[in-house]
Amino acid sequence: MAPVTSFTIVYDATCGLCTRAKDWINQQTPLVGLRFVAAGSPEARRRFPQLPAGELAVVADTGEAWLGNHAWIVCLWALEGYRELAFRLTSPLLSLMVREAYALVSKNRFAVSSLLRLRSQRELEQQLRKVVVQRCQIEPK
Amino acid sequence: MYIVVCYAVYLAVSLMTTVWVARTLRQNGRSFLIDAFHGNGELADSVNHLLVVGFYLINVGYVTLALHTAVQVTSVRSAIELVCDKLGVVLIVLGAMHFLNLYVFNRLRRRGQAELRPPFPPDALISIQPES
Repeated sequence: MAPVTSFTIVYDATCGLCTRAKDWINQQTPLVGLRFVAAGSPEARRRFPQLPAGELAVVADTGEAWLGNHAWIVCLWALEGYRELAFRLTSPLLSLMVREAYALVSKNRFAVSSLLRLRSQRELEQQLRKVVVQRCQIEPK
Repeated sequence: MYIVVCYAVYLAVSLMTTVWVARTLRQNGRSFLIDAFHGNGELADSVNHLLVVGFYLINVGYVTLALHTAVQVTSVRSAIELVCDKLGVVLIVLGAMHFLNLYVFNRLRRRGQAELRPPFPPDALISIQPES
């Protein structure tokens, strides 16, 4: 099959933990092209109408999609220094543990976000909208 | 006197065959390794050299260990039989090592190719609308 060269990561922008994970990925060195799109956003609905709603998804430029637990391991695979870990996480025992851990964190992601005080992209956007910026004025001499 | 000639012939043929197989491996394994390391020729040459050194050590080690014999060589016939016995085993060991090396080359290559794809097959195949 053809090598995968770029990905779009469809993430939950209403979840603080997911936003933090997105920021972390952005700080790493990617081995393939990476883009982020908020799940449920007009762009996500328009470009990927077939994707199931409310689930983390990674869509390759070839149209191949990885969902949920597989999606975040594919995210690790796309980063320099984490590719080996991604392959290791596919061993039978580890993949079972990883799947359970992912399901647990995913189900409680809003509780975890509020516990760790992680603000979501949506919250940050809303807060920024409330900020009143003074119009620039040049004082007359 | 026969035994000294036997040893000389055995050592000469075994070592020449070892060198020939190792050179074949080095020349033909290189392209496998370059493919495995995504075109990184320097790394491929380095791994190739390490594999060939291992091959030499194991084979020359085996050839020298297998030299010893308790057979009394009293005629030309028994000398030829002894040399052929010894060489036959050495050639089979060389062949086995050669195939082991081919297996290692192929495994490295397949692993290199697998790294170009995510660790899982995709969960779905969807159509992507072009960006506006």
